[in-house]
Amino acid sequence: MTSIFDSLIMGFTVAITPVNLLYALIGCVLGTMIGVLPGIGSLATISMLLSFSSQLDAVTSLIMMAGIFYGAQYGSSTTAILCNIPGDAASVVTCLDGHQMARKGRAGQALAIAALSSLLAGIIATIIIGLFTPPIARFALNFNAPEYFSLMVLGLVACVVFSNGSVLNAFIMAAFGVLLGCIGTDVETGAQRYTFGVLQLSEGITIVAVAMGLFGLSEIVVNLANGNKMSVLDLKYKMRDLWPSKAEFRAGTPAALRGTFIGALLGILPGAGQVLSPFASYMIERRLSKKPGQFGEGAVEGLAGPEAANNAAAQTSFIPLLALGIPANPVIALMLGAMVIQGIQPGPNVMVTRPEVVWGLIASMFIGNLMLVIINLPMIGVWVRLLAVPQRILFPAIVVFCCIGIYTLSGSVYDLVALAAFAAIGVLFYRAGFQAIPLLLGFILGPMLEENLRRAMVISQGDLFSLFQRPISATVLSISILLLLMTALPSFRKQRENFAGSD
Amino acid sequence: MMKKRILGLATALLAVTSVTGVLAQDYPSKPINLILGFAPGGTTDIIARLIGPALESELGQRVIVENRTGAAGNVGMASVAAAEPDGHTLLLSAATQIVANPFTYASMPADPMNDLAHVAMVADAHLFFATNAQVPAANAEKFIEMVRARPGEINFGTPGAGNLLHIASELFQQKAGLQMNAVHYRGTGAALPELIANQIQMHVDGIATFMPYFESGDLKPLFVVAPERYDVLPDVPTATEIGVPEINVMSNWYGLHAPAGTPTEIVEKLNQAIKNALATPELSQRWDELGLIVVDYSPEEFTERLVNESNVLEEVIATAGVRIE
Repeated sequence: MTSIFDSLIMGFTVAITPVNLLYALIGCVLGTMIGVLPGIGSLATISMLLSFSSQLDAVTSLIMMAGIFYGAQYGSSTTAILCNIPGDAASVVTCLDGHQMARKGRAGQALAIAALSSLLAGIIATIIIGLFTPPIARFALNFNAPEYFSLMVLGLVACVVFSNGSVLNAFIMAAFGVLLGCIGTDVETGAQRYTFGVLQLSEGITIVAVAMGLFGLSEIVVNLANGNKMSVLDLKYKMRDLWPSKAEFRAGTPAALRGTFIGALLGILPGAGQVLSPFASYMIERRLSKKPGQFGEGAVEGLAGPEAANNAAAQTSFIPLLALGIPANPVIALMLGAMVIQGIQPGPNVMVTRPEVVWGLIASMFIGNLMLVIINLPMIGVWVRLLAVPQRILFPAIVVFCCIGIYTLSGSVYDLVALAAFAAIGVLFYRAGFQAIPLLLGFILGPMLEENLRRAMVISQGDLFSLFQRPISATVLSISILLLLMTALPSFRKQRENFAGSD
Repeated sequence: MMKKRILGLATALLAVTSVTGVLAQDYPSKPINLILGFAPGGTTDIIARLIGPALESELGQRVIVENRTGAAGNVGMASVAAAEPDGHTLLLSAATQIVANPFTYASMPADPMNDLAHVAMVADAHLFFATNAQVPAANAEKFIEMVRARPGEINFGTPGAGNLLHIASELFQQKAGLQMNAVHYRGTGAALPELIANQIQMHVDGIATFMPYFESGDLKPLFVVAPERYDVLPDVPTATEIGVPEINVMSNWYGLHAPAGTPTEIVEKLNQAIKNALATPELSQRWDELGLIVVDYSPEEFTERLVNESNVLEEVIATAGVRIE
């Protein structure tokens, strides 16, 4: 039995060959580019490259695809911070405080904090992958339908309880989000729900349209209506002026470490983990903060934590693939398909039968994360200049890019209609003081909550109590109930109102 | 005026030749669109990406693979059914689109049996029934006994309600007189961890999916739906041996189809091209690795097989009450 150290050395000898380094670089650059463009994600890009990549060596093509995957996340943070446009659900959280920092003239710092947090998370998560992949993957098998259901309940309860507005307001938004998530074909019976006979709705609404409309486009409309201006950037800055201050490092580092931990943990759960992790990190950071009122106004912790969580989860979501052959998200499912095309059947033994592929990929993650920071840090100066573009040019350009991005995802005009509709809804919410985050979480978690509850009920023959008989599920549900009870307590409510009222 | 008329006549002539006169010896005269109804990365997609280049070298024209997803493959299927029947738009199907969906869906955008010309079977895969290794039943007979003794307590997974693999499990439990619960997942990838964790006790798929888990000892095979035992797993009985020969009509096949009305010569030419492609050492090795089998059907034999299979499935689906609104 070879030690992990030997395996890693073998991995690096694979990953560090000129060809593999080149394709890691190509993947990272390509990923960053498509990440910066709103809408076009790594899923579409890797699909398009599938035919090309099957002509490469197996490990080379995997290294390139992985580079695209995490490169896209770096890129989408950039757009989220500078333009407040979330390229996917996960970067919505980056918009919250990252864009506020940019508005206050600290765009360079925000980009640097995002990049460094991601690097820290990427390195730590990759070490976790190298050390613990098999036992972690086995542990993740304890998460079945009841546990997923409980986790979704906790997610929804926490987002309502910790929202920064009235509980009722957040509850209404979350419930509305769950209903929106129901649109489409029911998985169990195939019944059409809320589709009003429109064929294009039978596949549901795409999350990208919801996130982009509610958070990105509506913001543009609101800004124009209010006559808001970005703080004008002095273009005669020096590189050093873009670097985070000592205070920002002090605030960001522990947040990024906590985010890494949360993300690494949630990332191993197929399906839900990666989307949940930045939200979870944000809620925890706000809870821990001495000045929760700063959240949403450009708090460094609110950017560093979720960015780290997102990237850590993206890395550890490879664990189920490497250890068990189970894809944790659609992008990794595509990579699994690519492996099969190459004649590698992923499964519990792939680490033994094809160690050069697995360890080469793991080693390339170290290299890729470093590459991304090296590529992106000098680019910050260029990106920041984007903010000097006058709004009358920048805003229409953003709208056009969003529309192109959404259209390339599905080629459906209905998604553009959905984008416009959610932009309008977002403006209404802003005017009426409703929070869009609980809606988005409801939209993401609702369908998973329902599916897993139904599975759990079929498996337990309809015994609702079975949810409390399994240790993990029982613990998570108890925490949810506790949170709900706390909300009812006068002292907690007062404290909550205090920090909710302070912003 | 005269000029316009001549132009009109020429266009009309051109139209006539392009509909009736697609001469088989000229075929293919332009790039071929190979459409599939599922997302990139799945088995159908993998087969399309392997057979596409092979067809390209057989026919001497570009073959463009296109994923048109939606409604369990109905969207892609219907788009080929509605295409020009000149052999330049083809469907790479999974069995479920052709023989299961017409009976599970309340309404279909096209009738796959009659609106398509069935060209060739591109790949076939025997169905394996697998269970979790911790399930006490030592073999298929014991498994059936166990399920009989505990009606309504054992669960099987499906990659989606109404999928061919769901119907196969329903057929098994109807013929063996069993009562299990179907638990639906979004694809086999989502069902596998639940099978490994013994949340569900049975799942059906091809050997390529299960083999790594048989080897690791997480899962164990129950039986294979094939005329003979599988040579890599000689101890695993066939469906006939354990007393459910009715399932033998089913397998997890992938086919090539053209729009109905495509000239016979073109269908024959495509059938021959598939045959030649599958005979190349490169593809036959890949098929081996993927657990796929080559079945040499003429277009007529393939059509006959589909008619038989869909007759059986219609009855199974009606008995099981599987219905997609």
